[in-house]
Amino acid sequence: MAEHVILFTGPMGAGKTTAIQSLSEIEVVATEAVNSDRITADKPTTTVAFDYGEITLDDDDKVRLYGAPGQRRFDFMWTILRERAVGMVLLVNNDAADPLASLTEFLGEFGDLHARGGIVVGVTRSDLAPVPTLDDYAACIAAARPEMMIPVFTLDAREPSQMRTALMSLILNVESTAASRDPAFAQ
Amino acid sequence: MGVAELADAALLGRVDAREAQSPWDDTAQALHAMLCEPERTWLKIDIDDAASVFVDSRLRAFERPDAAQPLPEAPRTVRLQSTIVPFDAHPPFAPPGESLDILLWTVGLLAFDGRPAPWLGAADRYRLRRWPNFTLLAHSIDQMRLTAQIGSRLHSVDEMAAATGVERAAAQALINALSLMGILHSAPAVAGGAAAPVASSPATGLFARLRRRLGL
Repeated sequence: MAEHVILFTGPMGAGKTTAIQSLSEIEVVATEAVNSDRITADKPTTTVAFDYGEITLDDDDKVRLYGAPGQRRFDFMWTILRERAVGMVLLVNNDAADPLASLTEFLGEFGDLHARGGIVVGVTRSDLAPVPTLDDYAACIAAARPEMMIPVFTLDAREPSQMRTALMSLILNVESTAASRDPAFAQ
Repeated sequence: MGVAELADAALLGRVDAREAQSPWDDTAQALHAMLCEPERTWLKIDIDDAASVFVDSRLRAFERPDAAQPLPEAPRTVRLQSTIVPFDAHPPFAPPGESLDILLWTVGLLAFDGRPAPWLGAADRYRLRRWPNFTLLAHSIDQMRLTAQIGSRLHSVDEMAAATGVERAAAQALINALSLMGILHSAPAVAGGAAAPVASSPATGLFARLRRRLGL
C-alpha cells in the first residue's frame, strides 16, 4: 500500500489543526496541551506532538494528513514528519507580528520538500490583516528561494472547499514536478 | 470627484455585440490599458440588464452591486467610461471593495473567444509569476491543471492543451485571464519548437484518485 503523507506546518495559531479537521473524514487525533505562550497565539491549547486526519482513497489506500506543532521547541517532530511527507501545506496567519519572517523560517526548515514533492502556502486571517498581499508573499519566496514556484492562496481553514483547493493544487504540483523530471521536458 | 461625476468622464465607447466579437473584448482591453498606466484611473462599466461595475486602479478593487449574479456571457452592449483622477481622490465606492483579480479573471475568460488577447503574441510561451488565488476565483479542475503546467516552465498554449487534454480554446482563455491579471511571464516561441510535454496527471495518479474521491 502506497503512503501519501501530507504535512501541515506553520507558526502557532495559523490554523493547522482546523485545516486538517476541514479535510479529514475521521475525527482528528489531536495532541493538545495548555498553551503557555498566549502572546504569540491567544488560544487555550496548542499542538505538542502532531495532529492526524485522513482521507480514504479506493482500495483502502489513504491520504494521511499530519499537522506539525508550530513551536520550535517541538522541532524534533518536524524532522520525523518531514521525512515521510510527499508535500506540505504551509499556513501563515497574516495578522501575526511578522508573517513574512515566519514564511522564510518555515521554507528554510522544509524547503527540501519542494525538491522531492511540493509546497503550497495558505495565508489565513487575511480578512483581519490585508497586508502583506499575495504579491508580497510571492516576492518573499522569490527572494528566499528563487528556484521555487509555490502556489500562495488566501485561506479560511474552516472552509472545506478552500482546503480542498489547496490540497488539490499541492498534489498537482507534486505530480507536475515529477513529470518535469522526465527528459521529455528538458528545455 | 465622486461616482456622479464619473458620468462626465471620458467615454471610451459603447460596444455593441453586433459590431465586435464580444463586448468583453473591449472591456478586457480597457482594463489592460488602465492597469498599464501609472495614473490612478476609474473605470465605469455599464452592462445591459445588469448593475454597473466601478473599478479603481489604485485600490486594485471594484464594486458590483449584484456581485452574487455571474456576469452575462454575451451581453448585447457594454458601455465603458474612464477617467484619470488625483492620486488621493476619495474612492468611488466604500473600500476595500472586491479584489480586482476577480473581475480580471472573469472578463479575461469571457473575452476573445479562444483567440489570443491583442497584447499577446500568437506563438508566445508562458510561465507564472505567481499562482492565481484559486480560493478566491471561481475555477474548474481543468483550469488548475492548465495552470500547473506553467508553474515552473515555459509552455505555449498548444503545449498546455496537449499536456492536459483540455481544448486549446480553454487554454487560450486561461492565458488571456492570467495575462490580464498581470501574473504571467511571456517569452517568444523557440525556433524549431520545444520538446512535446507529456501528461503530468495520469488517470492513475494521486490527483486523479483524490479528484474522484472528492467528487470534483
